[in-house]
Amino acid sequence: MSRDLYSALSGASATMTQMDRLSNNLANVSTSGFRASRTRFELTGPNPELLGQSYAMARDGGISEANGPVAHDGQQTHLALQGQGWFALQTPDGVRLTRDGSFQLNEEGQLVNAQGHQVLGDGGPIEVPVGERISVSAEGVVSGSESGELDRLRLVDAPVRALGGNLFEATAALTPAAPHVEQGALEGSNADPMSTMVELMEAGRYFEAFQKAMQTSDELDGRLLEMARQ
Amino acid sequence: MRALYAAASGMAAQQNRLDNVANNLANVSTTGFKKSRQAFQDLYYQELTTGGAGKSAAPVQLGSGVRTAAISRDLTQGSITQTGNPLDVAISGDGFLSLEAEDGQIFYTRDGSLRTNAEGTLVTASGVPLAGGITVPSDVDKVEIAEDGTISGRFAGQDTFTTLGQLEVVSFGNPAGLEAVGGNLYRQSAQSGDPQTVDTTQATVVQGYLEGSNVDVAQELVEMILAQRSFELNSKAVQAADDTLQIAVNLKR
Repeated sequence: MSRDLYSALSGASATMTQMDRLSNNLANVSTSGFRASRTRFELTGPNPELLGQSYAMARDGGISEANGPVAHDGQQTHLALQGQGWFALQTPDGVRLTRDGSFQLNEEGQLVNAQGHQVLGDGGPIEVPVGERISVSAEGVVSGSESGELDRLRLVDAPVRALGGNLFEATAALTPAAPHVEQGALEGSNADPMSTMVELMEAGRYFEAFQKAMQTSDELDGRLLEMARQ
Repeated sequence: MRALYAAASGMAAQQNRLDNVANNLANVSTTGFKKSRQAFQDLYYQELTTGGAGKSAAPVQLGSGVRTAAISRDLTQGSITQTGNPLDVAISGDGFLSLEAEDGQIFYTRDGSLRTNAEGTLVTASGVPLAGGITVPSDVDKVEIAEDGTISGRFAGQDTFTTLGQLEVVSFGNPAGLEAVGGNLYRQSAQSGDPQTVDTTQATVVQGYLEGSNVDVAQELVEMILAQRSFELNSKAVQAADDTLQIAVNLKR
């Protein structure tokens, strides 16, 4: 059997992985602080230089670091980041990172995210005396309407791994970052519907091409067998 | 085929968002209504182990779609409009009127369209009495409600006002956590924290005015367009996944 059948198969299955990923990006076009993930295609095989012995493999291409669109909603506890950096959250599993700034105050006056994880400042979880309004500066300094400066948001940077629930886990040590903080706004998803749709169309066509290659390879094998029979 | 499931979760989430927009729009004229907004979260990421050469490479992570994480209430102030009715009150600032139903249940509201019932007790438009039970005697010809919620009345033929009661205005640590029960009423929940009495620096009572809904029609329409188009995008992804499957099926002739 010709080996190019398997080359084409590897291309088709790598394309399928790409479609799964694009589909997830599209499903999250409305998710605050969502980071689109990318696919990196790699040439592999025991002897990638040789025709018929090279295979395609879909690898993790990391996340897009583009800023998402900022939409203002005027809610004092909603924060948007622009530029490189993450909010740090205290979760039962340790510090997790997020770009989703749809925070609120809990019953104890702590700034928390939708799942109730505390937003970290330089001095631990940020606490606002009950009844006070907060203002957050572009550098991330949080002040109460009566008690003045309370804390500064802990803004960090690190290579990350997505966990779902708009949370990310750092895969290396955290370093300080200084993104611009916007109060009363939310950062949308950075998955771009237009380019994702185009990539999806492209993937569909590639898949079709790989199917044709597989059929052609199969046809050639069939002919060969026929010739042997004569 | 994860693409199908991820795209289907996207369609469901956008459908949900549209439902919420419709509810906000339906309440564009509801006194004291507070709009709500959907928050989305990505679902968990699955790690695929990639076989073959390069096993040492970073694992491939694939997301599995989206879900509605929360529907949170936006408590920004609605527009305050004059009605001229002396029993209409609007709350300016962070605060809720406390109500106590006949069965003892405590409710909170921003809808201050008060009236007197047959017994002369002050009740909301839906008939729930104010906490503390304030009665306006029938021979009172003028009612005045001060900024701090003190209600006083002038009896017919008199020049001075007598204090009749006090509107109880309270705030919460996390007012967005209050549970909406319909009829413009809210109930305390574990997330909201305990009610605290407010002073006039936090909230004031304005007599003769009502607070309108804080729904912004233009904003809701934009939200509706976004929900509809995002739904469409996801339906295209379902189609693309389906086309791909069809091509795979057609491999064998």
